[in-house]
Amino acid sequence: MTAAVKTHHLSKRYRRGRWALLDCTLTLPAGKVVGLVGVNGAGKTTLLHLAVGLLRPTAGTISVFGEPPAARATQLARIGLVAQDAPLYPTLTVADHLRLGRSLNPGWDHETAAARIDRLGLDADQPAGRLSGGQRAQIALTLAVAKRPDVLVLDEPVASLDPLARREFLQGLMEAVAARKLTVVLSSHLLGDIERVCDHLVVLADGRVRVAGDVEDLLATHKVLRGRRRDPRRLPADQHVVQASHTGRQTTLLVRTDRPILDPAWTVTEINLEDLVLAYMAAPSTPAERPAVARNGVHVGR
Amino acid sequence: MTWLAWRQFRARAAVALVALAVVVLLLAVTGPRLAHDFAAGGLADCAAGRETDTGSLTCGDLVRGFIDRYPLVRLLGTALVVLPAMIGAFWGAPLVAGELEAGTHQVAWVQSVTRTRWLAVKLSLVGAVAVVVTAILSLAFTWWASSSDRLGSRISPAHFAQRGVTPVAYAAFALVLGTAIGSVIRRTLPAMATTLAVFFAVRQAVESWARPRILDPIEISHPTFTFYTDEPAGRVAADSGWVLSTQTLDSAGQVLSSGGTIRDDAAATLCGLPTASPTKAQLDACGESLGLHDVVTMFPADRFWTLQAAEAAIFVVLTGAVGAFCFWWVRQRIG
Repeated sequence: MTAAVKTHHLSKRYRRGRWALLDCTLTLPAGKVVGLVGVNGAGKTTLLHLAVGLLRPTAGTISVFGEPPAARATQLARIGLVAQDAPLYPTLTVADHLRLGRSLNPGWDHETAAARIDRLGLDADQPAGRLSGGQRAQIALTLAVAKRPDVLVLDEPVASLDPLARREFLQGLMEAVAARKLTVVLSSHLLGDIERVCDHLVVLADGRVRVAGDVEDLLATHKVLRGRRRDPRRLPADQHVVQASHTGRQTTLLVRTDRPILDPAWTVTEINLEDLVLAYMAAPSTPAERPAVARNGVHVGR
Repeated sequence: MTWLAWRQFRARAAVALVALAVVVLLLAVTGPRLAHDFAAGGLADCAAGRETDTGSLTCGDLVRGFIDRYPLVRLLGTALVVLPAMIGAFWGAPLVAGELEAGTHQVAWVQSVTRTRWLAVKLSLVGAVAVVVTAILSLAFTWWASSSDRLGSRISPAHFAQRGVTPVAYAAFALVLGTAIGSVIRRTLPAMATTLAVFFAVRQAVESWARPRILDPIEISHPTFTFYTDEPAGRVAADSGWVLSTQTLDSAGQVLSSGGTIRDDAAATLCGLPTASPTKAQLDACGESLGLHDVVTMFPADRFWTLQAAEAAIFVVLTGAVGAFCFWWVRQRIG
């Protein structure tokens, strides 16, 4: 597995003193669509801005294809960003933005960019300030894709879009991904979208990584156990409890394990991605309950 | 990068160039007439230190009348003081702060151009326009006011900053100052206000503290003195330069007064005269016996360009220092 983005004890604290990201060690595989999920304020934007070099770490390191991000122009050429709410220059027209992309990027693919704008049916002479959120997001995506990056970073690209614009946007994104061998890192709190487009997942909460791994592996190694009420601490050592809930007589556990569940007292069911993400987002963050292990590409942060 | 920098700046540059063209045209049209009026109206005689032959009018009256007829002297002088500050506030402060505020740095800083190059191109482009505009305006005004400046006033602090090369150095300094303050504060409006305040504070500090010290002023000793009741016009006319101080000393070199005059009763006491109402003759005799003389510390008018070069050099150095800080801050401290 080649790493597109690698972080090592990456931490970021803003001037006001809050740790937006704490001790985050991650490997995001190249060539995949990585989903970054978490509630607002979990540190998603911070992590993405660190990856594109808009922010620099307070502690720890981050590298994109082995080099610190934004260190040189050639390194900047390898990343593309669609920032949250797709900021553009309000007085510059759509055509001006393409011109901007062309004059600032040696690898600019003008045909693709022009074709995309054409297909979107946008008036090239319209100032960006008068575009809708969906149109702005599409321009931002065009700018980011046409510079032919190796990593495309999207920060909540569809959060402010209506369902139709959202579908069109994701369609455009998937086309761009299919056309080029591209690593995509995408943050969202819309789990449906994540489930549809991502094959690797990172769950962030309170600035820490809760779980990270390929979606397939995550689904295969997490099981829901239901049975008579009992103490989850007496489970086999290789079964890690992510979430436990008890009613008067029944216990329901979400456990992560590589091995089959042998205890016949449990009714074992598979879990869907949405429930898995929600369980990790809601899980308490005391280290004792979430030991750090890395196996089969599944990492659980501390 | 040059294209983007120019695209973002061209509207403001156009406004500045149009305004500059209007002013230069106005100066070109009125310049010859002003020179003629100056020569014909007796002011040239005043400038040369001669009495005028215009009858009852004194040189003071002539100067006042001249200023009334050419309000542009004062207006453009003020404009040249204000222009560098405006460049700092309206071109410098939003240069980085405007992008941070609108979030467009998230577009600019993820293209295949480093922040250093981005800032370098923006600063040099805006800086070039700022320097050209200020230089043309200042030199045109210096030429236009050259005849009236023969009255010896252009080296005085009131006019010094409106002529020659200093406005250009001020403009360059104000631009990087505004950019630096905008980068640190990250919000355009507070950055504009802060830029104005800091710029004028620095200007004032240089004017009142550094400028008199960069070159050695000359000292002129006059064997004359002035009593309090004398006509101010009788004072030694050291007005062909920038007077830093006028002190009245006695023959022993003791400073009796630093205001350029000495009180009648004080002089009378020193000579043992009745303090009530000494006569003019008595006072003159008294002054002679005490060896009263004035020592004037000043920059003569012919040091104008030397002083201009020195002041400009100070601001060029300041520009370099603030500029270096600005690059460091944008590269290392934003984000």
